[in-house]
Amino acid sequence: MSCHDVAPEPLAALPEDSEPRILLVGRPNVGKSTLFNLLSGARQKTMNVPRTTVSVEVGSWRITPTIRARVTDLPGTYSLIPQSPDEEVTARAVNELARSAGSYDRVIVVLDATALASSLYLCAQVLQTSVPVIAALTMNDRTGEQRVDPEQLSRVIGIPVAEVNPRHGRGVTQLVQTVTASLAGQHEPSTQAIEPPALPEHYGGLTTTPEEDLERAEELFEWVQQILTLVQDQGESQQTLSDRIDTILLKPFVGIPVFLAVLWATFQLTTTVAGPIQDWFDWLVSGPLSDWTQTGLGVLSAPDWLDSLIIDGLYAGVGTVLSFLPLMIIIFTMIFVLEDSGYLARVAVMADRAMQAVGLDGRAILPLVIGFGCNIPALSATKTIPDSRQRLLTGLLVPYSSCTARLVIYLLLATVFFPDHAGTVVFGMYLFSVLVILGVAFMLRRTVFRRATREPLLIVLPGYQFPRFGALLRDVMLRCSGFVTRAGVVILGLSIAVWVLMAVPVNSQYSLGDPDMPVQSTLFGSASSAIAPVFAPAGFDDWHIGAALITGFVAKESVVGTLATTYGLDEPEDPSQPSDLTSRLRDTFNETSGGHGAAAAIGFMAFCLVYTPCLVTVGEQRRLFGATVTAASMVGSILLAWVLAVVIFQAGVLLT
Amino acid sequence: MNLANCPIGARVVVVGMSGGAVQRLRLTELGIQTGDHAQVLLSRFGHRRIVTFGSQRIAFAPEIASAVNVSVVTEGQGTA
Repeated sequence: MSCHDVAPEPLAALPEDSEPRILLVGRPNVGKSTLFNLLSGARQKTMNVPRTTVSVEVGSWRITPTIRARVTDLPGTYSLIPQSPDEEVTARAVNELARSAGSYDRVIVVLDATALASSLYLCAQVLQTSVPVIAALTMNDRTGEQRVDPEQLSRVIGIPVAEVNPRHGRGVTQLVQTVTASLAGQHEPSTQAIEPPALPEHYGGLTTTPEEDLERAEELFEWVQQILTLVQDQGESQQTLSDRIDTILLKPFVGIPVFLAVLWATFQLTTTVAGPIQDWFDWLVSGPLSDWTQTGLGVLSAPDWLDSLIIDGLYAGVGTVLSFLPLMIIIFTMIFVLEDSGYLARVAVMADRAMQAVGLDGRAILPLVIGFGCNIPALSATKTIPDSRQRLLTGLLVPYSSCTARLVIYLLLATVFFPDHAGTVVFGMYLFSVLVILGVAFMLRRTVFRRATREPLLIVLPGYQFPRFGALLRDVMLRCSGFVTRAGVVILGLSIAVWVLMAVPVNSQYSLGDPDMPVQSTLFGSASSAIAPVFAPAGFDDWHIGAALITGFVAKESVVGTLATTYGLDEPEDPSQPSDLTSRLRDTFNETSGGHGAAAAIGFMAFCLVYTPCLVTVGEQRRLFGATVTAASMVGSILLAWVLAVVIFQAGVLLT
Repeated sequence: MNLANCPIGARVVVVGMSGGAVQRLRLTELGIQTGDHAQVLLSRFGHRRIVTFGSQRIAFAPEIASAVNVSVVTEGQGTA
């Protein structure tokens, strides 16, 4: 506590209906979000800022048993003179609070003791808005001999300062005392305080030019230098352990293999390790849980449709969410470790040149590669990209990474139509996936993202550190709960919608949810027949294929199973071995394509690669980017898939 | 001389910044000031440079590094 030796009187309560609004402001990587998680715990939600692609976290902080504050974790920024949509959101939020601040509203500026100059610059800008400010000093344990005395800092900048260490969960009590003292008006102005220069009256209007901004920044840095000489020893820069690690880890012949090993480990964890756990959850829900429920419903004489709704609709949705949870725990852990250790910032440096070619941030390489394992964790990994436009662009590209679920489709069709070159065809599909990503990135950069210029690399590298278990646990739990509550609702809704298609009969011969009803007699069968003609120009207008594409929207793993079911066959154990299904597929594709089955099959594989990967992806996209973006992404990918399938088929017909 | 072409490992002092006002503003906001001492630690992956400024480590694309003009500090003689 550093409020000029004033021992705070306990603040019993605030007047009724006064919920303090607190904004958390700070540079990127200062521990702001870790502090936010520590303060608000599970009482937080993500909110999209209207008319932007930026989202902020809003939480409830129980400061004392009687005082709760609404805390907003704003995007990290170096300045209140914004240069990106994220920074603009932060600047606007601070200015709006300054205009409308009540007696109990505060901005907590998180100061990084290892980069105090630029942190103080941001703090000075916030002070210039006249909003009441409290400083939370972080990273003081990493400054060595340049340790900052928070009390001295508080005296010279004239605002309360609390030292916190959110990664270790320390300093919250001090912060609570500082905030309650501030709310109670117990912070006495310091006689030693040096105030930052006030803004000129006209400043901040429409006439502000970058030159003026630069002039103001230089003035503020003069103030910063004054403060620094009083609070921090400006010794010679020494080579640190992080520097020594960087000299080894950022050698191309070390850095690239290490980076590939990290990607491989992530890929393995999200596929090989998570796979059996997913299967176990799948088995649990579709096996014992469904059996017990069915027995229970039988005892209660529940109608067939209710039985079917619960087992095939509700449990299918819940089972899907649960089965993805282990995968999400693994990927969120990996993301936290990569971010918190400081390694991810190095990835941005290593991949910057390669990603520059497609106008993406270097960090985009991580989600795009993870996407080849599974698109869901890949979408979650876009959170590591700090710029919201870059994050969104990457999130729109991830679904075109050919995940392992699509591999089964390639294997089946490649074996049917190219038995001697199946491996080459499957490899070609992965190559095609990369080309689609590059092509879509190119198109988006020239259309909807034409104004989103990619800034050249300029980032502050955090020092390497060991991730803290407590912070990891908190972060993973919060992210998982966000996945279950926000993506889960969409997944459950879509699962029930699919159940309706499967359960509703189209003639009076069968009742709702009749287990003996053949697929053709369901709404699903009718929908499959109805959409089939759409694929005539692509050479695969058949209801079996239409049905497979509908269930492929739910999960690409279902495509082969649906083809088998609609043909009245068992799903083949090994899709690369000849079976009844392979001969039926050969006949169908040859028939619908006028004898150009191979061309139609390639078109079908391309369609499966490009259109919506699965409904969990839809749920996760919706959680991360909102409904409008998700709808646009879905419609865009379906249209693109159709166009590519038609072009491939027609080109194949011309060439054969 | 600038941060993009100064020798790796040499101690340098910032003597000014070139480029547009927006770019100079962002460099200033990162805490890079005329008179600051720096040292290029690495230049890798297409001339991306990692530079120490006090306790900060900043990674620069070559086009940004070339906007920070520097002068080499020789032992006991100030700048050269």
